[in-house]
Amino acid sequence: MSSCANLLDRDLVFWNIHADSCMDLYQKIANKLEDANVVETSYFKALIEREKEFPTGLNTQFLPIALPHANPENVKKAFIAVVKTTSQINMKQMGTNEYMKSQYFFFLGIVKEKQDLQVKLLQRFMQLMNDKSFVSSFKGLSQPDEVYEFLRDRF
Amino acid sequence: MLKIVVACGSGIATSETVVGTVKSFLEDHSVKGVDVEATDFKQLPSVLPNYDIYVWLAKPTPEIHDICKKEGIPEVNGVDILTGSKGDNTYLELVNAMMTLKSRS
Repeated sequence: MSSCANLLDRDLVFWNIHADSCMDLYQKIANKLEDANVVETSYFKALIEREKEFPTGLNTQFLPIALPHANPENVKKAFIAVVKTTSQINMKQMGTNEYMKSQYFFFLGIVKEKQDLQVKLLQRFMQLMNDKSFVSSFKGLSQPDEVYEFLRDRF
Repeated sequence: MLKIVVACGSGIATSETVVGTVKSFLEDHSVKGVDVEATDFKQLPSVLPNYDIYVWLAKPTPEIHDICKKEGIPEVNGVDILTGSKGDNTYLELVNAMMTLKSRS
């Protein structure tokens, strides 16, 4: 297991989340992250403010995704939370602010001390997203445990 | 020394990732003498004139466009570099910007 894979957490894989907007989704995930004690109470507000100004939707080659994150002062412990919603949600794209739809979200909990590791993880992750067989296997996963093990073994 | 700046919202997650990706790309192609740095959007207007190429990950404001125009700084789409979704054409804009600067000097 690579050191990057340490950022993954079996308890931070949330599958088939019902949400009717990205705001609804952010609220639900923020609550879960607070319960898991990895973010400060300021996280939700910080997240939506940052996303409003700097959206994080990405149309990768085979799958539209988003990488919602808040500034480090709102994060207690470095993490990556992997989320799939039951249906597609309207998002804005990074860089252009144009609309897109996504069903897969990778919430990045960024802390300054672990920045190098997180950059490595993000690089590796982007590499994997360009691998057609990785993406199609990933899309086929239905259980949070499977998702965790699948990602852990590939990072 | 050619200087490239990569800017996202906070200058820590995606911009640092793209800095790493661009550095590896340059190394893989034995391109030397290029500095690649990350910054955040707040600092960008004040530091931008010190750079030769601007790689954007957050939508450039009119103020940023004006600085680039005035200083002759090419603007390069960094989201394509982050995702690598354009395949072989991922670095095309960046390479074109570097070539433009080279022919100008």
